[in-house]
Amino acid sequence: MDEKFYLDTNIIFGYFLKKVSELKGEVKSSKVAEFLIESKDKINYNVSVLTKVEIVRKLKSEFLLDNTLIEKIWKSFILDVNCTEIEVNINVSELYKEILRIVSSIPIRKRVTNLEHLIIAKKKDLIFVTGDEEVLKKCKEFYPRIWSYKDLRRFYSNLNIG
Amino acid sequence: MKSEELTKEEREEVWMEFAKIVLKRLDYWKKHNPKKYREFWREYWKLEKAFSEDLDEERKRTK
Repeated sequence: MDEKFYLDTNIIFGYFLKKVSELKGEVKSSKVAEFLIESKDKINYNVSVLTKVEIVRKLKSEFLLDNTLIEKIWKSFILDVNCTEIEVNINVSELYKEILRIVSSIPIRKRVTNLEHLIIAKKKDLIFVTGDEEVLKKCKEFYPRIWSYKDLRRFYSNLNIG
Repeated sequence: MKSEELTKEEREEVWMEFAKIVLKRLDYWKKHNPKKYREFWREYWKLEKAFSEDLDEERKRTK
């Protein structure tokens, strides 16, 4: 298990929603959740405090959850998927200088959160797995280790063949 | 930094509680904010679609 992966927030929220559809009695297949559970022993997944910030914001603002439950949900996810919460000990000034370098070089339409994730992944030498087309298409010149969901599935598929 | 332990049973209870609240909220949106309701599921299915592109199909195409 040499490669280490840093997950974007969307993929994690997809996992949460699988839990909702299960309770609703809809045993719809959820490719995202099923993949994370199936691959958790072979793939090293990582998240950061920024990931947690995005999840907490969504759970609090959209679903009005209390903090105790939010904390338990976060811990449950970490344990279910065997994920590691990495320490982000990055100098803030250094982080934003890198982001400034990106947004000054190429037109980025979306907000900078995914670029913050990208720099965290870069500093920690993790492969950033994202569904953000803009990051996938435009940012590999700044950090080549950016993978799409399909790349991750392909990697896992090859692990199983090999 | 690994998370503190919660047993499998405790985690199932947590997800159950979470799911009940989310379903209640979704019901509320369905009745009072249908745009938000549609947007929520649209995002969900967009992610599922992005994740489930068939690799076998891709392999066939590249052969």
